[in-house]
Amino acid sequence: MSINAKMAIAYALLIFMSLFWMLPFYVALVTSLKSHEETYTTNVLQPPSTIDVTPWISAWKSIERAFFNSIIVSLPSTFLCVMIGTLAGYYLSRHVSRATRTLFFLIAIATFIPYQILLIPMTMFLAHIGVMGTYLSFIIAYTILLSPWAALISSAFFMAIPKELEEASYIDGASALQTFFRVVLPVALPGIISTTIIIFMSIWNEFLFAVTLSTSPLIRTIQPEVANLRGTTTVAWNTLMAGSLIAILPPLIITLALGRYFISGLLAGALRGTR
Amino acid sequence: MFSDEFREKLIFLAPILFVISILYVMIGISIYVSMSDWRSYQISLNFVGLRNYEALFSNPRFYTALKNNIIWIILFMGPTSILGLVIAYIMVSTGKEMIFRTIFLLPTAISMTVAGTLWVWMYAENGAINTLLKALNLGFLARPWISDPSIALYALIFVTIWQYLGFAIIIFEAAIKGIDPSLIEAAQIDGASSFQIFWDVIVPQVRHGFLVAVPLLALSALKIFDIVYVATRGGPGLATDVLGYFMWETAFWQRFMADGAAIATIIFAISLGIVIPYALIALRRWFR
Repeated sequence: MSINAKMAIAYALLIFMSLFWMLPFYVALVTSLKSHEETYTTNVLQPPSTIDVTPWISAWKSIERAFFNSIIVSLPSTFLCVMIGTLAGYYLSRHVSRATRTLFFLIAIATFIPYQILLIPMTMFLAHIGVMGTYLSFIIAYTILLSPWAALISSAFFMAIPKELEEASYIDGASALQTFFRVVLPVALPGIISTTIIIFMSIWNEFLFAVTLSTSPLIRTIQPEVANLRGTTTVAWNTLMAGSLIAILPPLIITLALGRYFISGLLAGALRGTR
Repeated sequence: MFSDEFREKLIFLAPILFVISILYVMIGISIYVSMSDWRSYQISLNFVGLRNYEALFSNPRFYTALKNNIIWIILFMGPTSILGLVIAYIMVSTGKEMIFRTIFLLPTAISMTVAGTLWVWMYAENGAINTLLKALNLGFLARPWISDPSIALYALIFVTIWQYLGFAIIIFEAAIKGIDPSLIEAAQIDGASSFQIFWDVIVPQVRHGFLVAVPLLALSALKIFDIVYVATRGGPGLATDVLGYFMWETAFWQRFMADGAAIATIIFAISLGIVIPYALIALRRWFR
């Protein structure tokens, strides 16, 4: 087979797969722009005859609060996770001893165990300290759940930074903390961005804790809200699709705009190393 | 009072040590709750030994959920990693991996809740899948995908493959790009076909890609919950019931906390079989 024929087959395969992989997004978009009547009378694959934005408006009205709840919850938790995680990740990358290896192992286990084992004690703990039913319950839960992963991800990036950089700073008499903030963090910025993106998206997309901690509609976050929309039979497909698309807008925008950081974060997050 | 070195350690490690201690204590509490008599809104922690486990092991629903989890792990882990490797290889050989990588990553970036919602619509009676099948004259294959108990589980497993393929592609793309190019060139000079190169050079060289992808995929299938909740609630019947959903329903719907904790402990015990070797391998890679 000639090289050209081989390439043609490779492209045909990739394009076919890509189109099929994008189909759910396409169908969701097309459905979300159809009038209620048209969703039932026309072929699902067919674009709307006239663009109707009312599904988007009614979807936004019903999930607006949850969308902002998710932002209120995700941003501080992400910040805390990245803060706690980078401090630990930096230390782990700079000190190799039996103790740090043990700590790394314990952090890795805590990162990858299924959340189900933590769900009941976490709700007990949050109820005990009296924050159940408030934003704080989510922030505390996500900070505890995800700072270990932030430590592992950031540590992979710190590993790649040569130590010589800090030695100069120490010679100038700076403390470890000063060196960390003034010298290391700026150089490690791409890695910090990757860590932040992965943690933010994990919190935004998380469902098991979100649905359990959303004890009232006032604090319900976006994923349980979408699940709720689907549960209520009164909501039509066009509104449900518009709501779903709104709910995935932040991760989609991040992936399209900062894909490179997302990918290196995913690789580091899988404990594969950054190379 | 403290040496500088100790102070430094404290600042950098105290927060994570605090978090990690909470997490390990919580695991202990969960296991304890699984041996308690807590079966209502009112917290109750009297020790009852292994009674809840005996009840669980004599409940047929447990075996249905466990079987579904095992099917999920096998039918998800295998195809996702193999397809991921094949696509990554084809992608890299076209040299246009940027655009394709982004396309396959979009499902990976979104929540499983929304992925489930999108696919409930895809699988609907007049949804995209049935419409496409009819357009291709394959109308006899059209069916109510997720309300048919004989295929609902496989329909949901496919959605998770759709979601995680991008993740597998990234892992294998990085593994392929890490292969010494001279190995591939040598094979080409020997007149090997692309398929032979793939089989004899690429596959053995990306072993470590499998070591990363396969355990993580298995874990994702073991703890699966979101899509079952949003798409089928374990139904029709128990066709798509899994341990993660069984656990949640038992603990947070029926309020049988102790029984829920017992299911969680089983999930946890199974996960350790994957997580511990995974962490040990990562540890070796890390502190090389």
